[in-house]
Amino acid sequence: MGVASAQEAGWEHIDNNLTNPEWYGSGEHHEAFRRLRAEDPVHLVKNEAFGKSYWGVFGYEDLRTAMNDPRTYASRHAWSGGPLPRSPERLTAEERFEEMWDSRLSSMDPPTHTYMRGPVNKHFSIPAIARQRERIQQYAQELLDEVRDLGEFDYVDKVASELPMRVTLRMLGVPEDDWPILRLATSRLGQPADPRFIVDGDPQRTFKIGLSSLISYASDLVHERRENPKDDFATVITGLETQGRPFSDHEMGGLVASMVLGGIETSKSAIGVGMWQLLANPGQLQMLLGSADLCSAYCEEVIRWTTPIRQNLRVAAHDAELHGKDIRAGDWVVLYLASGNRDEQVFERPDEFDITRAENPHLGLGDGPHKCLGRNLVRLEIDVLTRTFLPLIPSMELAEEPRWVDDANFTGLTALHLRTR
Amino acid sequence: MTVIAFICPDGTQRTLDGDSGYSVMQVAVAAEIPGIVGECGGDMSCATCHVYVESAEGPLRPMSDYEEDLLDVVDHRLSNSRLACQIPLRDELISLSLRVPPQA
Repeated sequence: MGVASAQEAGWEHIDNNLTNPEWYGSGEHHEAFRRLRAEDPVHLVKNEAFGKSYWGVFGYEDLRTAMNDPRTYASRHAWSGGPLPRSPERLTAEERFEEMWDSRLSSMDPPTHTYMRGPVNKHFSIPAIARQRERIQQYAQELLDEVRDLGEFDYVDKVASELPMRVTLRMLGVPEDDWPILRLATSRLGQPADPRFIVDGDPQRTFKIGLSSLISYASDLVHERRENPKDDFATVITGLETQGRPFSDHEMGGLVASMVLGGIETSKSAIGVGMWQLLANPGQLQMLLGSADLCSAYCEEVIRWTTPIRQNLRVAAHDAELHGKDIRAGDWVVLYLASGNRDEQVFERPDEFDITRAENPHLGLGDGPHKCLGRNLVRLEIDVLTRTFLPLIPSMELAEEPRWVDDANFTGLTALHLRTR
Repeated sequence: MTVIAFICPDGTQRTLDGDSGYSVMQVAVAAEIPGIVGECGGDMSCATCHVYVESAEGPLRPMSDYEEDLLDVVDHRLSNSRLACQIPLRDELISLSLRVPPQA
């Protein structure tokens, strides 16, 4: 199957592949997104494989419009928050409660969203995150010491997943003995089709098991900290209140679950791909070695080029028009951030990894009220890690070509095998 | 239109005309006033548009609980601290004199 056959078959091939994990693993989607941006940037996706039709938004400007208009493109009407659910099957109110979608910021709209996110924002603000630099510096140094003499190792496993895990789980105060539980849970959520994590050969079931394990851990953690406060962020969460009342256990649990998933899986993806691209583009590496001040531009380019979360679902709250298309109240609208980040109208040579872009207004961390809560934490992680590892990178090489994760929602590398010379 | 005077940390002063409908943060970012970043775009999530209101001619929108709370994290907070994204400009607000805090 290639692009030629896709064109011959009209949109059918693309429509049915938009939820196909393997299609993304092959990288074929970039060509399809290019065609969609050019020919039908707000496209009615008749996806029989998924079982429901929805609008796909592929152009940068339309994506920004939708993300900044939560009154039209709402988050509270979908059964679940964030990316397109893995099945279109409606969740009942009980199931939404059980899976905590009702208490997750990603399933809320302003002003409810404002009530619930307002008290959390300051802990992720730039001054608050900047105070974590020293701590992250120490973890990055630990990781460098752990891998420098290994000879050959998997950077995704040993570094890219480890740093965000140490940062997020130590911040929350999760005991190290429990990390494997959350590591497995987040991997099942992020890569449910991966043979290393799949349960009974069923990605849908694997995702649910990962979610249930994450939620039950998050609930237990906040419950425990409410009884026995400690000096950690889980305890800080137990003190949050809004509109005159404290957060409930259910509300706190939803927040912890979002923090763990958002903090670990997406950062892991960006960090892994970022290292691969430095090794694959020696000219870019040379520039970074010449001036570590480029770290910030490197970080933004990694997030643009990778786009760890490929898409996000909204539901039209009322009739609207987008790029000449009649969107009706209740229609599902999927925002393909991964396409917007390669939009040739905004980014020159969009497929090239280029840390010298003067402007990089990417959508990799979202936009509007749902903009990634931990965005300045992941930026700091990448900055510190890159500065720490930079002197070692020229002595490293790829031991084998990496493979993309097979997933329709999350991007990343299954592994990145490196060898030190 | 509101006349906004910014006193920068290095002591220099810049005076800008801000159109009604924009926030002080938007005017400052567009004019590249040093020390005002506005990373979140005005959603009150980044705390990078901290200013001291030295004087105001005309009504200033009062602080919300969320603004009050977010100001907890900034360096060098004073009693006249505000987030510039939370000060919308309107015609009744004739002029503002703002000082940008020292950068950490």
